[in-house]
Amino acid sequence: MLGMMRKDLCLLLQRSRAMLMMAGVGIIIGFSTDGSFMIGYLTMISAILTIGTISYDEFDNGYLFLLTLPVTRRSYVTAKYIFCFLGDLVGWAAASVIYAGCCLAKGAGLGMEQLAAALVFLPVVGLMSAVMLPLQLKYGAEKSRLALAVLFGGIGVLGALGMKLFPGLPDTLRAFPEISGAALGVAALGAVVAAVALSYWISLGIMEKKEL
Amino acid sequence: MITVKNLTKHYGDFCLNVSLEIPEGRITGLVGKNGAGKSTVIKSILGLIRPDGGTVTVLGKDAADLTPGDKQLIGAALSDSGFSNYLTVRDCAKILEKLYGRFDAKAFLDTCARYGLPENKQIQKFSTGMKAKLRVLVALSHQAKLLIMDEPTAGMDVEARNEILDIIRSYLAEAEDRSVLITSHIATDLEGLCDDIYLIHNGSILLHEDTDVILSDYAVLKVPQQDYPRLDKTYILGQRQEPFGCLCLTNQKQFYMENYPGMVIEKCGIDDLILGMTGGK
Repeated sequence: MLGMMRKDLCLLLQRSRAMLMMAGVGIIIGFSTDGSFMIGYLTMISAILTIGTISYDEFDNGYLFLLTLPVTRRSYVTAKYIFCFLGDLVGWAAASVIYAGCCLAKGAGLGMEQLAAALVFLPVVGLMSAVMLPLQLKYGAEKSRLALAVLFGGIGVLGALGMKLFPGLPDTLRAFPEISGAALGVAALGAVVAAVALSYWISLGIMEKKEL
Repeated sequence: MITVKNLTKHYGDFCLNVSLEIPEGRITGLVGKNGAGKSTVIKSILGLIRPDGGTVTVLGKDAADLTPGDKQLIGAALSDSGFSNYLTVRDCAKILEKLYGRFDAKAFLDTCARYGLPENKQIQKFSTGMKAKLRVLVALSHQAKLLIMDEPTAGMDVEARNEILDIIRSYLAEAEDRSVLITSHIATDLEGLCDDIYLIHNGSILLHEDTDVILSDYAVLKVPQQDYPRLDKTYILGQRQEPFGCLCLTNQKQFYMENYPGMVIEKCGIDDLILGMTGGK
């Protein structure tokens, strides 16, 4: 498993120039905007880069060779998930540090508000990775983009259909008592953990069934 | 080391149905034309595809149940698959170091340098021969007891092919208990390397014979059309029509030399064997 993670790190480092460029763009965004959009931008970029290592494995019958090494299909998936989620975390942490630096440089203070703004992106990128990983493993780099578009299109259609079928739904949701930030955080964390567990289980199934 | 019993696998119209055995310390060649089923056999042995039927036992275990610990004892080189082209030899060493307990990074890098593989150049910038050498050196890098090599010399010129075969020979000379299964459609590559040969055609094993026996007892008979009816066909394994008459393959060279003194009888190589047994031209 460590070997697979080392491979992914080597592949990621091949794109170190692109990563530095993205960080530069992030700093420019950080200085030119007031919000925390930059954290979301850099965290998403790091997620896309780490998940992108799957396309290197897939290219030129790579899976075939990788699975002749002391690696099982299960350990390949486990290593990929650990690497991608660690990558998300490192990307988020780096983006948060740059964001904090930008805030301090602009003379704005750092407090709970900024921390909350940064933390919001963690479950979002976690969910994104949970969705993209099995899609990329199943369909490969090219087709997974199409599958992602179909998936989000489907969610949009279902949402629109729901609003049409239940027109009173937004008012019902607004009638709920206000939920505290901590409760919302715990709920988000729970949702992400459940989504990642489901995603991992699906990815294991995809790899186990993959004919090479 | 490897036992394959009644392995079946279907791909559309193609049906693989083979049995073979590779004992310890043996170098076995699997030869056949393109599309004969060689790579499917290799993939089944490595547990990369699931057979439709039969059993594949590797190192005493079902191929599908091989653990990372078992795979430490196997070195594989596949013709069309290897480390990502974006990596360098140095990267490969770092990865292999994490994967194999008996991998020696310094020895690996030294060997790569000796065979002209630059340490810090991306694999995508390597020539076909350099990529093939790297695949073989990776397979030999961790003292594997079982080597499985699928077309390790495919697409290479004769000099590069000989170099690769020499690398494999040197590796085998280091320990007697090492076994090899090697496939190739360039049969001459295997004549000087293998102890025995399996010939596969259209998914079936047509012949299994010791290489020495093939080279000493097998022969190609060039039989003129008018002599063909009088030829004793008891020991004829295969034949095909040629402009001069009939080209026959036999495994009893001595019999025809003694009984047909005027006949043109030529030494049989593995290429002749493939053509003779599969009816090719």
